[in-house]
Amino acid sequence: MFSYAMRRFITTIPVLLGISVLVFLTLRVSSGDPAAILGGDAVTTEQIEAIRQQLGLGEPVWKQYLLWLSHALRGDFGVSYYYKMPVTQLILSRVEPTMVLAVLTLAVSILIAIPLGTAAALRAGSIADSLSTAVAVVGFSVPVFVVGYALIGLFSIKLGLTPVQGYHRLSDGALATLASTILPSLALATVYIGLLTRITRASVLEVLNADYVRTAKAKGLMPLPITIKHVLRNAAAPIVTVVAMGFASLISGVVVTESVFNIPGLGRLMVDAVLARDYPSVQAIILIFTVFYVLINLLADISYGILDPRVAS
Amino acid sequence: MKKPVLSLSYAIVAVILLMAILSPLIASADPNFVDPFNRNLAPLASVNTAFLEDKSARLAVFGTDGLGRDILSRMVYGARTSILIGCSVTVVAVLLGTLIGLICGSFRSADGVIMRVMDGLMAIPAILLAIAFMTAIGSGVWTVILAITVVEVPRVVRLVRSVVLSVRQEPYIEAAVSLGVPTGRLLARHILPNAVGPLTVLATFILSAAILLEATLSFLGLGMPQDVPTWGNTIAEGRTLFQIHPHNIWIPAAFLSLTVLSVNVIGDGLRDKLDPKNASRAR
Repeated sequence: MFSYAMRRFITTIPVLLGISVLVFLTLRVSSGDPAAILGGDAVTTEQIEAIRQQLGLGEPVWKQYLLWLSHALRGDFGVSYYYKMPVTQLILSRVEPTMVLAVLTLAVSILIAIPLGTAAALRAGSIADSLSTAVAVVGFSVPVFVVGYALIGLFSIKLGLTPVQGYHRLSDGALATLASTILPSLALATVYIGLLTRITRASVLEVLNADYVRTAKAKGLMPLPITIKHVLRNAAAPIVTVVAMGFASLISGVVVTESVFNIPGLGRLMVDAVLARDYPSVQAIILIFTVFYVLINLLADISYGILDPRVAS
Repeated sequence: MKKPVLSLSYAIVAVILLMAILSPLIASADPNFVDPFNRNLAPLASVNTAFLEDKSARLAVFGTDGLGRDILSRMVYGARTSILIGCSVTVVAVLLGTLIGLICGSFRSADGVIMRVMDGLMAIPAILLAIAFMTAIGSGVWTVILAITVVEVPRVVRLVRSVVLSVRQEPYIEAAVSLGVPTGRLLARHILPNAVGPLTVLATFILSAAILLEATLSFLGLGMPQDVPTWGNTIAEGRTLFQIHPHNIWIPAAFLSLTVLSVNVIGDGLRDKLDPKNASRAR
């Protein structure tokens, strides 16, 4: 098991390196002269030259990359062009809303999708089955920002239950945070719920026909223990993989949702940074999101090995 | 997928295509014409023609936006942008992806390197990759197409490569090789036809994904320039007045969602037709 985990970990290293090269090249090389941008409007040629020296911009590209990477690995992503503060500090100040949003979305999705998908698989043609199809179709086709506005229109404006926009920090009280993040998480969850419901339904259907499930039934076990202990446990591996793969749409969704609901998180920061041509921040956020996504998938692969020992050997 | 739903989807896509091709004929007004006396008209409200050259009584079918621009016209021209970008991305991604996929499937030496690059591209969530490219090159029609194409190409490469690898073992390929069929011809005539079915299905999903991604980028203000009437731009501009004049968002949102939904349903239908044993399975 340990060697399987190590093997999987080692295969992700070249992918991570490749991503860092890609992010570095697309944003550093083509973004014009960072020294001129940092200098602002009233800057002399000597000052630009001084900044260039300071940032190591006179070096060849590969040296610049190594320099950037070694700093990034130590958590130093340079200074934001726009906010004029260290990017790391900037990012840390924006992490909380995004984390709260992601965790809540994940919880909402799993709590809705897995029971719904299981129910849909157990009774083909039932209400749960049609509902799961409908949710999946909507989740795949209706953009997150449209769902977001629909939820705002219904719950905030018509019913007045939740704040329209904005975010309350955890230090203001967990209830206020929950009230300000419940709608964004629901909006964000639609994509995820669609994906998860479908895969739960498919993998439960597959397991339902297995011999050991028939045996369990024949032994006279109650339906619920069979479903939980025999069916879901064995259907879990593909579900875990999809939860992890779904993080890609979760990250995309975070960027959009934070803009819709005006939440000052990482996704919002990235959009603002792109609009302000603040390349160090954009670079750092893309890198962090992507590394996070790759690591989540690595974790999923490893847990796949635990859930289904045949994979690991 | 049920028959009527599928037919309805084809009908919706046909209407959108017509709108895209015949935009100047269908649109009743210039989509960028700013009319300060007819701002934020509700759908079906009559247009105040006192200050306009054309005095004929008429309705703003889908209302007007915060600058008095006719939303129906913006939707019609928006369809043109969406279809143009969706189709360009699909065609380029499929052609380029097929070429790269064939190379990967045929030449071991190239396979390792190219597939690592593709893995890297696929490891970056679509929207981040597109934003990275948009930031690097600047916004505009071609950049949007390029950025979305980069996101979609790896999917095509994977598909074509896997088809080549699985077909390569078949006896008829061996027979063709031993008859001395040149590699290019072998790929084009004997291997590629096996990929046409799955590629068609993938192409529909790329089309819907591209339309959705373009709208999302435009919504974030990172996609098409603001003077281009697109569904995403219209939604983005409707945000400020959402609480008072929600039609600025609902109407483009409906166009966007219905189009993407219909293309997805058509894709599902095609897949079920090509591969009936997958009919009830998840994507």
